[in-house]
Amino acid sequence: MRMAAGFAVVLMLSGCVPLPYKYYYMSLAEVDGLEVAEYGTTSRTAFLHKPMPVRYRLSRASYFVELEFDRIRLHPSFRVYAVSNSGVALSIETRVNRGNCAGWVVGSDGKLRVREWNRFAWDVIGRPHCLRPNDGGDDQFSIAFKVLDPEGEILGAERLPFTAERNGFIVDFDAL
Amino acid sequence: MYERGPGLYVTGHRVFVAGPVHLAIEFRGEDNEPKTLSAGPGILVLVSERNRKSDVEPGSNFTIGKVNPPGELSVGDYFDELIKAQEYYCNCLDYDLFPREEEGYNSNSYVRGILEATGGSVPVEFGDFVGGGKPVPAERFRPPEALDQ
Repeated sequence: MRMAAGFAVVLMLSGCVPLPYKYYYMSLAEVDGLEVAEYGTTSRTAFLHKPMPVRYRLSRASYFVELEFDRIRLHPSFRVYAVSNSGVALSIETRVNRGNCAGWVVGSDGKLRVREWNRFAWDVIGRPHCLRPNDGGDDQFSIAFKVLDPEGEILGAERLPFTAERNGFIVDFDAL
Repeated sequence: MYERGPGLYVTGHRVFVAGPVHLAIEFRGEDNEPKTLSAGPGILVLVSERNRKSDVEPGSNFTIGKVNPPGELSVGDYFDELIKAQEYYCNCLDYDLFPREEEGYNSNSYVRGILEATGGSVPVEFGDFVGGGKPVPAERFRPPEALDQ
């Protein structure tokens, strides 16, 4: 009892408290041309955590799309960008819906945004209500975007559904 | 103190109930659902995070001050600017629980730094919060090429 009280005081004074949460990752559904290019783990403190897809590649006739997992953030997210088969960086067009737990990070709410890359984040860790796609009437989560050439012509429209997969626990530090 | 309407705020909670105060930036749109930006320790580095449970949970963060956007920006548009600035941040600065002159930064340094870098103002004396006296430098919230100049 005395030890527990002492530990609590130390935590209080240290300004840093570990908070373990169930960890989930985005598992993209099988789509023609989509493959896992790399498996890996979060770089955060985690336990019972197994390798999961950390890089996907979507191959199309004239371009490919890379989805790169951000290992350092608490919530799972992918940086998404597209490159033509001749190596030219393309743009992706995305739309933010700030009401969702999952969505594109950069951009004004409801407006389209065209840029070389954007990050799709799913703010689910410690927030179980975000395990269900209940905003916007969708019955499943998906990463949706269009690929544009340098002249702004649409080369393709992509929609990559994903599901929540459990993967051990992650520790967030409530700290200064 | 815990009840807030639509707007943009600096909020905070005491770490482990009675510890020092951790700051966050909170946006509430018309739906009054909180969306937060803050930072915390990764592995030895300061990592920016959105919507951490310890910030968004109802009743966790109390109001510290209302943020005034720069110029004519609405709070929603200014929140977009903050998110953009957050995406430029490298998640690579040294983390220090109690930042001193030459060493790292903490979450309170982050909140002050991102607000100052984007021109927001808030009637808060940041120096009263641990690390708030040492903001993350403004150029850390700008495109990487700005760092080279």
